[in-house]
Amino acid sequence: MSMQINKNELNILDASLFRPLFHWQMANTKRFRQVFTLVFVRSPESPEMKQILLEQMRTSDLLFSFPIGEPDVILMANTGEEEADVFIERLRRTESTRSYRVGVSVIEIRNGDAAFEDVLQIGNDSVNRALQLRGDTPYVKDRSFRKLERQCVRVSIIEDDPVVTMIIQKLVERISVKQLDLDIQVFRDGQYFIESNWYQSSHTHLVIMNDILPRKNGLEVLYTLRELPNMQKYHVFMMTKRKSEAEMIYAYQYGVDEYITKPFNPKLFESQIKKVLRRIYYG
Amino acid sequence: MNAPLITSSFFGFVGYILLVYMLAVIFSYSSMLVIAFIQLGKERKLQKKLSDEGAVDFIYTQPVTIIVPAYNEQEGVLGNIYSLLALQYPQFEILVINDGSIDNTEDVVIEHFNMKPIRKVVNQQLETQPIEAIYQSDMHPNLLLITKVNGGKADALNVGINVSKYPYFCSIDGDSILDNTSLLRVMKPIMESNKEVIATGGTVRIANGYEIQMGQVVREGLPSSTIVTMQIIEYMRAFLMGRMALSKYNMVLIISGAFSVFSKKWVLQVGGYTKNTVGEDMELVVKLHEEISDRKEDKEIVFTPDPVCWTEAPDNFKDLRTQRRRWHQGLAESLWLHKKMAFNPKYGSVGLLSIPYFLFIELLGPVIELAGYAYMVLSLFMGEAYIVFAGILGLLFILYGSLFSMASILLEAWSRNTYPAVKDLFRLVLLSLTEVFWYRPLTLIWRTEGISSALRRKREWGSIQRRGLSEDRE
Amino acid sequence: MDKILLSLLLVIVVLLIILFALFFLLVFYRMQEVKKKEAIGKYIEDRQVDWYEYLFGDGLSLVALKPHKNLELEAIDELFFRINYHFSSDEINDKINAFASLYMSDYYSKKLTSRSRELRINTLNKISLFNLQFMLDPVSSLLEKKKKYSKTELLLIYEITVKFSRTDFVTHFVAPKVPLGEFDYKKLLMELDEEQINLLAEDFNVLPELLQLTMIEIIGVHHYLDWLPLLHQCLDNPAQEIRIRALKSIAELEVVNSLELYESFSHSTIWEERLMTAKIFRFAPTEEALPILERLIKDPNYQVRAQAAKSIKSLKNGHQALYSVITMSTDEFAIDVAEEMFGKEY
Repeated sequence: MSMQINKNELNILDASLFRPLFHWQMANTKRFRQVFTLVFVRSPESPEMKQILLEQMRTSDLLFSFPIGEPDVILMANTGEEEADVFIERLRRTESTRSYRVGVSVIEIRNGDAAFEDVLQIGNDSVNRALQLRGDTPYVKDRSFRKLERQCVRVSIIEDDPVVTMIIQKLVERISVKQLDLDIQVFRDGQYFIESNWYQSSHTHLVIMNDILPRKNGLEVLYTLRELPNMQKYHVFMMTKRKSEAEMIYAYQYGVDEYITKPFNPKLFESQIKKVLRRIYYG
Repeated sequence: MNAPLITSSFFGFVGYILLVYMLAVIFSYSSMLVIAFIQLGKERKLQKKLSDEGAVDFIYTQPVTIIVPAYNEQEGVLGNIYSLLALQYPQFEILVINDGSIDNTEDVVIEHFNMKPIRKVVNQQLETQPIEAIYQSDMHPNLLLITKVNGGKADALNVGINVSKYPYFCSIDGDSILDNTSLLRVMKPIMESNKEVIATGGTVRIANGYEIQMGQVVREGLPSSTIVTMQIIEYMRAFLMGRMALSKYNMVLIISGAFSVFSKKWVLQVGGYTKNTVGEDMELVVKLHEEISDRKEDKEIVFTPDPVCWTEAPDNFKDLRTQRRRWHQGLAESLWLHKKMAFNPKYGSVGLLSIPYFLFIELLGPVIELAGYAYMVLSLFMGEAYIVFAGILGLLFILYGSLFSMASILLEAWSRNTYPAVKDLFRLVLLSLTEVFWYRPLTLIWRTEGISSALRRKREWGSIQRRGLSEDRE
Repeated sequence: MDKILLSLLLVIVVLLIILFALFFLLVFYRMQEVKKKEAIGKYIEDRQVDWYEYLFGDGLSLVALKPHKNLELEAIDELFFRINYHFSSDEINDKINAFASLYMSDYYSKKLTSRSRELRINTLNKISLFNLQFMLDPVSSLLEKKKKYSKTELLLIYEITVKFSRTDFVTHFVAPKVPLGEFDYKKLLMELDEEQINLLAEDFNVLPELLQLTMIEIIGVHHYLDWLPLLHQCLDNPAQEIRIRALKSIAELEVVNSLELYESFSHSTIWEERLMTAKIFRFAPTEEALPILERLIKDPNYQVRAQAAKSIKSLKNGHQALYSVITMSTDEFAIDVAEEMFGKEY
């Protein structure tokens, strides 16, 4: 019995704490791709109901108690909607001990960019939707946030001919890889690129460049990138007119992902870029 | 009564000599101007970039070693290396030779390009001062730095030749920069002639006034300094008029040491650069001409106007004076060393035309012209008859000094368009008309000083000189 | 005397006037040029996306790009150059040809028969660079004209013939209108495909020596393995240059199955032959290559030594072999080149 009380105190939290904990959870989702699930529960206000919920929850789940008229929220860290089924099943078994209906909505969150207000809104709406269904424990699963977080890849094109830059940019824009957003920026030469803070971000970067550039040339840009602490996030695609093998071998050693010799087939270029992007996505 | 007559008639005689000399000079310049005009006209509309394409392809091009002798070049050397790294050329190595600099040249290069010491076997084909260390860049594996005991520019270049691994080498001053197509275009005559051309030189232009960042020209324009602009005019005249014409008939004696390419094989045959001369670049070319004639081979040395090398010109009288004295001293020494070639039919047009041209017009010209200036001043005190005479002489000077300069500017603007702004062109033209009144006399004095220091040095270095001559006889 | 002075003065004044007149003429033309350049730049900027759609996408029809002014043709010409420099595919090529043959045929033909040599050269260069196949006929008809063309032009005409016509080129190669040098032959042969090389190689023995040399080299550069027997045949050729080139190409082909044929060249008195042998053995099995290379690393010629060291390095267990040279050898030069191999190559 003392165990029970203990659990009550630890796992039930005031509604005001929901927002900070949600954000903290979100940060984990973003950084470590952790999935979590929110369960919205609407029932008549009765202290007994909260007790029931607490008994059916796992010790790792947290119940946020909201004021009257608003649904309570259970946060299940590291949990997907399938695992939440267990909770619903257990809640169903309590139907015989209560005389009122309980509406449940399960929202699995994978998208690290979901906004707090949106989640709250959708939770409210879906739990109301559930209550329109039949049964003593009606439930819905909302999958609005289940879509994987779209990863943003920063693409830099370093090339001095504006016509060519435009074409390359369009060719890259044409490529669509699932779940990757491409953010493209063009630079006239290596020095502009290095001087910009564009490449200094935690994004994954794809750098498409000429090997011969006015001011800092390709190898030097490559060298600068390789000196960065998170260099595995930079994928370099080199275009070349010269074909000195020794230099190409050298560049590969320095971590060029792909080399392409000008003039090149745009289709080949596309598929090579695609290959690099897939590698980025699947790790 | 008699005495003044004699002096005055002697005075008249000298005047006539000066007059004849001036006419001869004007004649030779005019013909060179015409040749240059025809040559340039032939390729004025040629779109060079179209034919660059084919040459970039790997197999056609010969790999080149670029040798950069650097003595106290900490200011300019980085820009120079950056411009070389941006060259459009399939295969080349860059050897920066630090000739015992006493500034931070070595540290600057090592730090900037992450140079690491390496072991390298040097094929000691030419005798040089010892090498202290060889470094290789971690970023650009084809960039090497060689530090050696100081031995002068010629010695540094010889070290570069020893270390180089490719069949052609290009010498470039440590403070100048290249356009990215320059190497390709300077090599073109060699390839297109199927290697009949064994040395080529490009145009050297003055970079002052241009905005240059990391070895790349960012903005073009004329410098505000008059003395530098004057030199720009001078360079235009020298490169477009003088060298174009001489090159047409394989008579070039000077291809600027600031930017030229040589076949290593041939340079090794003549023993590399000659040490202890001031004008090692001219000296090498004359040696090559001599060798070509001695072996009776059909090789050529050409100047090509297209590839451009940018260099910083002195912007004060003191440095300019030193430079001009050195140049002229070098010219004098080279001509003296190869005096047996002069008027020697064995050496063909080089012996019969080129060397005499350099001797009488380039080398002795300043002395005679100075005499001309002095003559004009004197004639003011000699009576009316001479004033008219002096007037004629003066007009010839104007024709020779200023009008030719102006014509060169127009030729340059017509064929190359280096200074596209109309304002700049106008300034150049106006300035060229003033040349004869102040700039020309000044350079004449400096060049004459060069002759006298060459004469003095001859005496100091007598023993070395004799050894050089005995080698010639063998 | 006074007369001379006056007439000289007159001459100078007249010259000055002429020069100034020229100067203003020049400035006038310069200004026009600038205007033209701006217009071309503007066309490119305005229409580049359309051109992208036409050449790289499949949205735009040819008619939408119909040029209206001569200036536009020049801008398109410029655009072709920039695009061709970077991109090439059959699709782009076909589309450029389709467009140019419809709207630019006159533009190019007129320039091809222009009186200015520079314009003709520019045009020939462009036909070759942009692969304008439809211009083959006008170009080959130039050869039938009485006019004397410069070597640059003839070379370009030959190059275009080689590129666009399968068989016509052979006569030009064997009997060119101007004597061709090695560089010229290389340039032409680079354009041949394998089938054309075969056609030429059938008559290998009757070709001019310069052409033979170049062919041998091209076989190596293009890795035409089928012609290895021909290279082997060349090894018995009395001409030293041909043997050296053949060895060089064999080294490029990276073959290792007839090593016994090459081994004797490691004893040759000609250092270039030893050099090439050292190069050939870089892909050979270690046990066969090592004895030969260990001998060549002590060669009197510097380049042979350096190549031998390089070749040992690329053998299987080559690093070990190099170490043993460093530790066991008494030849200082050999040790030096071996040690150098542990640095970074370029």
